[in-house]
Amino acid sequence: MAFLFSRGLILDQHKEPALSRDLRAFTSPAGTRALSLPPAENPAALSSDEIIAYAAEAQIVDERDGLPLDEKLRLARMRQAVAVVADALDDEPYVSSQLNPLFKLSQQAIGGLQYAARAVGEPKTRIAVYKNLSDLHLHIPNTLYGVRVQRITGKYPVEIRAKLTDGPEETLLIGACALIHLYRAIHQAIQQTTCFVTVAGNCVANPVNLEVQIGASFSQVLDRCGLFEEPSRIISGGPMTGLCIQDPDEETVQATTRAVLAFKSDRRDRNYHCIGCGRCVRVCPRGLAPVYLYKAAVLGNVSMLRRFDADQCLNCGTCSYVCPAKLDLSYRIRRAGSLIAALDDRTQTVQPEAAGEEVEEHAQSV
Amino acid sequence: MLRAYNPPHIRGRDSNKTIMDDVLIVLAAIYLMASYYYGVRAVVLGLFALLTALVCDIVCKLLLGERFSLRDHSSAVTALLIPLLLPASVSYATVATAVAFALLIVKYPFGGVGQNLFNPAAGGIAFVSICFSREVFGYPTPLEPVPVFGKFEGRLVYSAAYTLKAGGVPTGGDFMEMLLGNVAGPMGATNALVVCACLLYLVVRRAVHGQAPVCFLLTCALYAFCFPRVPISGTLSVMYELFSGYLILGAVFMLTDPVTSPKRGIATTVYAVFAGVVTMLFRQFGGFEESFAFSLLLCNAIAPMFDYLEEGIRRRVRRRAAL
Repeated sequence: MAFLFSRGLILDQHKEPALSRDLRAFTSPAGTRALSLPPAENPAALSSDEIIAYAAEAQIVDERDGLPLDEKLRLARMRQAVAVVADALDDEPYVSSQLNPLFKLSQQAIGGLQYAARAVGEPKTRIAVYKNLSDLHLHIPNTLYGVRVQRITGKYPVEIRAKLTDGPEETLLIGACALIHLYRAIHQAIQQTTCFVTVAGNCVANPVNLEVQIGASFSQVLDRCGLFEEPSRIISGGPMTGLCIQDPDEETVQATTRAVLAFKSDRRDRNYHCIGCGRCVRVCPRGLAPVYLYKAAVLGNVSMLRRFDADQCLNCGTCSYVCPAKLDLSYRIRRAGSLIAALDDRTQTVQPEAAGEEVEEHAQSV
Repeated sequence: MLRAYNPPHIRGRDSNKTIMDDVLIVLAAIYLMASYYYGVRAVVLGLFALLTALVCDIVCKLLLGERFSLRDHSSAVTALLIPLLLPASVSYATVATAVAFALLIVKYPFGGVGQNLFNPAAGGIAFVSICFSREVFGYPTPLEPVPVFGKFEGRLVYSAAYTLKAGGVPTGGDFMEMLLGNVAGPMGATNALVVCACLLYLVVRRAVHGQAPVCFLLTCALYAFCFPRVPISGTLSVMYELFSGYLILGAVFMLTDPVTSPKRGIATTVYAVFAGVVTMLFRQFGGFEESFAFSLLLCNAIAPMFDYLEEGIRRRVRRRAAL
């Protein structure tokens, strides 16, 4: 039922074949850096502080939100979180860089989850996996090493909303890859120098999940998987929220990079106008009215942006996806929303006229 | 150096063009039905309206300094809709006037596609209803030959809507004939069954949302059942009110016009109910036998208000949830 009432998109997932293929390594032994701490002799007896110390020392960054893992653990311990959830949602199409490591390196992921739970104070643990994965070749079990696998239902976006819908009690969501790195820090005493990325897209010859050295360039990663066509856009991150890379030789993979996608699309610029069909309003997961927000953003009308709650936009890209006029709704609304946040921060110094200039040019690319 | 695009990098398949094309496809089906009842003239009227719209489009785009594009089919929808709301015997000049008024006065001065405040087809029809009411409300009998070109010399009859307006009880109330469109009336509007099939197609293709026309027609039916204009039973009153004039055709093609209707779900429902009540009041107390175009123009003017009202309620709910 929740699925019927949730607003959002049903997307074709395109996760195969990368999801069921083996995880490949694209790392160099020279890149490994040892911790100043020794490997834990008796990991089962580690205290909460010791686990957080390992996380801090290994400089683990949660790929889910880009926050340092030790800070997240410390904060959750302070707030007495009731559950620690391993996030392997991967609700964006093509991306499977949490699911694949979770199943290929299950022992490490579950081990990491148990360490994280102990660091927070032994709350409940579970694994969150997106339910509406249509084209899976992989069987998703109900439990993994005794930890319950929860299938999260609902339309896209699920991952961004997950933290919003977890009830009044504090739940700690940690990306599955960060948990693997935590396990390695404790057992092998190594720093996080790699990350897991999905390489896919309609130009990639061999779509696969890779463990990549942080700092490798996008062109190196793409060469590793092979391109059979020159891509017109290379994306860092998922196809709904990821950012375009302009120079793949210069841009490098970061700890929060979840996917490297290469697409060839023959879409041209179309000068469509909004026909007010209201599709964006019907799919917005926050119940906003993107059609009016877009108008306000184009006009630079700050009071209208405030009235329509531009600051509550999740930047999930749902409205832009459905827009039949192919307008850049989510990008413009997000930019206007951050502008409002800036205005609120220093209301005295910034005049609304300056706001109008910020959102001036009206080039739409499709 | 690659070109930078803004996310999302994948997009839905539907575009403005596919939505308009869906409407054009169902309009073609209604033209087929009209040509069965009134001969080739029905189709030629449609093509003539299309040609007029093309000329108006080119002129307006030149005046606005925009590039003319054949990919924009919204004017074609307006143009093809207008003859269907008129009798088959209508003169070519009247059709051209209605289309030109719709595009040159109602649509483009407000900024063109997606900017117009009023439904162009409703504007055009309202204009010719006022200017040439004798021609617009006199109908040829179905299945009687109508000359393809030139003036129609045969006998024009009144529709059931006129009889109701005059306070009489319409005759020939055969339900099947009314459903199939074998009654005097606007050339595309009498085939209720075909029009309903069109609505189904549009809803399945997601070109329109079904809730507006369904709520509108239910409101009209309920009003007709409760307050019959002439001394007939409630059920008969519902039948005559719904199947006379272009109520169903207007509900499917004009009320659902995305540009001029509210965007939110509840707002759309309230809007449709409001439009239904206004239409029936106009029919009862207005001066014309078919006044849907006028009531729709009135509702268009206040359509954004429904959205703002619902937005106000939702904002309050959102902010309370955020606290």
